[in-house]
This record gives sequence, structure tokens and C-alpha cells, in this order.
Amino acid sequence: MNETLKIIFATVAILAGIASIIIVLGNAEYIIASLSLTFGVLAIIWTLTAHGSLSPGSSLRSYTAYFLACLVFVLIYSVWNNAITIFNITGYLSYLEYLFVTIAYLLFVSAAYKIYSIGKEFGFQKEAGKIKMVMEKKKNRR
Amino acid sequence: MVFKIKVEYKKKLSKLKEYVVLATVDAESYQEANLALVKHLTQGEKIPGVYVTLNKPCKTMAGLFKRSGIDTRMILFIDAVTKTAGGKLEKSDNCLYIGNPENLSDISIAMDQAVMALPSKEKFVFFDSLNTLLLFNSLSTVARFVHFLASKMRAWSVKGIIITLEKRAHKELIDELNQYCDLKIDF
Repeated sequence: MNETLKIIFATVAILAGIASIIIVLGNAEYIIASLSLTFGVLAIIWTLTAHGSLSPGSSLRSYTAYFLACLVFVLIYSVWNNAITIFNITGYLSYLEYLFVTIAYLLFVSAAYKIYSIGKEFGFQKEAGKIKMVMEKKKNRR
Repeated sequence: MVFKIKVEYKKKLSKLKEYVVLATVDAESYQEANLALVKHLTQGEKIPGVYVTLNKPCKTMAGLFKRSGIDTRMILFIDAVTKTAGGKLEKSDNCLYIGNPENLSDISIAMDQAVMALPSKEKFVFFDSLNTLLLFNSLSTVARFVHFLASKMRAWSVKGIIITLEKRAHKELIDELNQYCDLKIDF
């Protein structure tokens, strides 16, 4: 019951937040930009919480650090992109967004490589296959 | 010792398909109890499983098991005692080296992956041992970890055994942990 109430309150709060953003900003572009930033910040908060709960030196903690860096650069890119539109930024400063998005993609590649390594380190499928063979052999012998 | 364990098993656990047991042993019979329990699971019940060692290196345990006639091909080892180069994870044959007993996150992930990979409905998880975990982690961390481990063992539907040395200093903790487990067996 408590969990259901929590979900209901959280849903109402999110909907109220979205509604207030729509009412206050009015402009569709600003609304989408604000919502994207809100979700970006939420993603960063959750990742930071996860990073804090995991054991120091663990593989998953190191992966969350890469993922956090990706999120931060995606958010910076998003903020800069919106700033360009809102403040009519021109010249070389407008090209900074390309730098941010490139760094974000490079970090995504690093994070993907990290999760690939985690998969290789923690994956037991090959070993499990051997166990299956041993069990089948034992079954056949009986 | 083997006979005693078998009687305990038959009496208390034979009817259960899945359970979480806190097994307390004294220092002298610790090794014997470990071997007898694993032998019972792999040979008596013929089920594969995961052996998490925080006490002795995986190679030493595998050697001991082989000498006791235990088929190590039925076991996936998770070794948190052997130091690896740079404290990084390494894998060889059927053993994953975590490199650090403080790294509870990696131990948990490794256990989850190993249990889920096992190709059998019935499987076991053997955690050796709780008192070693206490040497590297605080009491509250260990208590929280065991609570997590017990609930995970239930979710995995495995025969879970958490072994610990009977120590007066940890009596309160053992009593507290007892409530997370289905049964406490003293060997």
C-alpha cells in the first residue's frame, strides 16, 4: 500500500512539474529543452547515488564513473545548445557544442568498452557449458 | 564428521529444495565440514554450484576438493583472496579472481552471473566464510551484505550455505544474521 501511494504521489508530482514548465515557458522549444535538462539532471543524480553505493575499486563503480562523465557532457552539450538559441550566440563560441558532443561520444565509446570488459570478466557462459557437458556425461553413465 | 553432517542434512534439510543455512563450525573441524558439505552437494545431491572463497585461494581449494574426491568440474569458483596484478579481475578455467575481499560489489555481481549461468534447476551457493569477511569489512557492512546475500539466495532458488567460525566475539552478529536464514546448523 505504501509503495502504491509513493508511486501515485511521484506520478502526480512529475505531471505537476511538467504542467508548470509548460504553463510558465509557453514556447515549445523552451519546454522541450527544459524537460530534457530535467531528465538529464535526474539521470546524473541517480548515477551519482549508484556510484556512492558501490564498493571502491569495483568494476561497476568504474563503469558508473564513465557513464556519469558521458551524462555530464551530454548535459553540457544540451545546455550550450539551448544557450545558443536563447542568447543568439554566434561565432567560434557556437562551435563549442561540437566539442562537447564529440567528447560525450568518445566517453560513450569508453563506457561501452568498459561494459564489454565487464561482460568478458563476469561472463560464465563458457564455463557453464562445460558443467552442462559433465552433467550430461554423468547422466548417460547412469 | 561426514556422518554427523549427513545426519544433520537428512534431518533438517532433505525435504527442502531451496534454503539459506548459516553453518557455524569450530576452527578444528572447519575444513572437514566444508569438504563434507560440498561433497554432499556435488556427489550426494549431484548438483552444480558456486563456491565463494575468502579464506584460501581457489587453487588450494580445488586441490583439497580433488583429494577428497569432489568433482571440481561441477563448481564455479569465485576467489576474493588471491591478489591479482593491480587488483584487477582475472579469470582462469572455472575461477574468477576478484582480488580483494572488500570489493563486495564485484563479489555480488560475480555470484549473480555465476548462479544464473549454471545449467541446472537445482544449484548451490557456498559462501566461505563470514568471519573472513569481518576481517576486511565493518560489522554493519557484513550484516547488510548477509541480508542481501540471503535475499539473493532466495531469489536464485538455490541451496545456500553461509559458513562461519563459531566465535564468541561475533555471537551477537551471528544471532542477528540467524533471522535472515532458514536454519542455523552447528557442526
